Amino acid sequence: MQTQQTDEQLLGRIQKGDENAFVNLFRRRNGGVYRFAFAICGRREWAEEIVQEVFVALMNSAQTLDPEKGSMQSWLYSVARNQTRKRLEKESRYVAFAQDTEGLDLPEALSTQESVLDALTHRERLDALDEAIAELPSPFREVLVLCDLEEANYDVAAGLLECPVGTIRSRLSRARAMLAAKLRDGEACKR
Amino acid sequence: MKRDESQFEWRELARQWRETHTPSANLESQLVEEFRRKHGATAPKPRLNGRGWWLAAAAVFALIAGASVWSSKPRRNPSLAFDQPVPPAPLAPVPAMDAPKVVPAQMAVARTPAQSKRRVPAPRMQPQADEVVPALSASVRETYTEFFPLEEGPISIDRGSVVRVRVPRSAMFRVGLPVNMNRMNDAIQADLVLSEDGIARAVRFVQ
Repeated sequence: MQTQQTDEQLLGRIQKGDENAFVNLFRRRNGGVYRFAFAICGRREWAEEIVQEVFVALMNSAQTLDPEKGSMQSWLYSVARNQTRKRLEKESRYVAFAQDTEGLDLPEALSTQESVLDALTHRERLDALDEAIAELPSPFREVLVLCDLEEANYDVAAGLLECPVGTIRSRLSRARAMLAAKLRDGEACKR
Repeated sequence: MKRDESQFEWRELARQWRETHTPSANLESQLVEEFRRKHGATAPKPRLNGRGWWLAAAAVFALIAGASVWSSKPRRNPSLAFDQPVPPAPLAPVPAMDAPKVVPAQMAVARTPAQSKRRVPAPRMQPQADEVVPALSASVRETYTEFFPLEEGPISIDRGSVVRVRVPRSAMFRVGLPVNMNRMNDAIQADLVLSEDGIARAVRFVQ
């Protein structure tokens, strides 16, 4: 049975020009990078462009990357974070969360397996979650998305955000509390 | 118990959130294409075979022979040295356009030491930011990319013009060219093809 290669092993193969390794790493990490970028900027089209930029950066820098200096996952997220921040700085007038939730089609799986009302409720919950995340202050939002939603370990988050693991834990705890309060407020407003 | 339930609910919500937020599927194919292009371009060059070595040796021999013939020719003015005052060479006519200029080598030699101390302002090689200038003269060595259409479908222009502008490097990325991510915001020169109605139809990048 073939064991799954680590990101760092895949990087070694990418450095030798192995296309399959690149595809494997892309498939493993593109979703996380996309969601992380989306959580920071709140714009799907930006998040998608940032994924592209991150993996092009990987192609360009693969030869110089040293896995001993930090995890591959941290590196990918940190490029995504830098690119997203650059964009936000450049177009600061778009900082407001401008999510294009209207006009989005329901996921196919939802529309076939669940009733329309259930699907709408589901959609609303996720939209409410998006909005609540977007309202969190940036340091808390990043930690919450990385550790809770993406289930990255605390070391990765600490490496990326350049702070001790203890800080990550405390930020995460506060972020959860803030998020819960915002979700509760949202529910209360609907009633 | 209640805590476990809420944790389970939160994890379920996180899972659903992850499923809902995914990038489009065509990203992968674009990046794989880019990967192939990049690694195809940097593939190791074939080693020289026997015939190649002979050609290389012949080229080296021709170079050595040419150099020895050139060095045996008498110099026209061997006494010309830096300690002799030399009348300044006539300046080349200044072109009307503020285009990059190539200074001939003999002009530099013909200067006296006093003259050579004088600082001559370097010709302005780059137009100012956002400045629109006509396409450059052929005297400047440049490399171009091909023209990339800025709209879908075939371009049909009866009349138009090409203008040179400065654009951020990220513009190269948008047409699918590889860009160093650290220099995305740097400016680069580009030639824009404008149709008669003033709309940009195609772009190429200049180095």
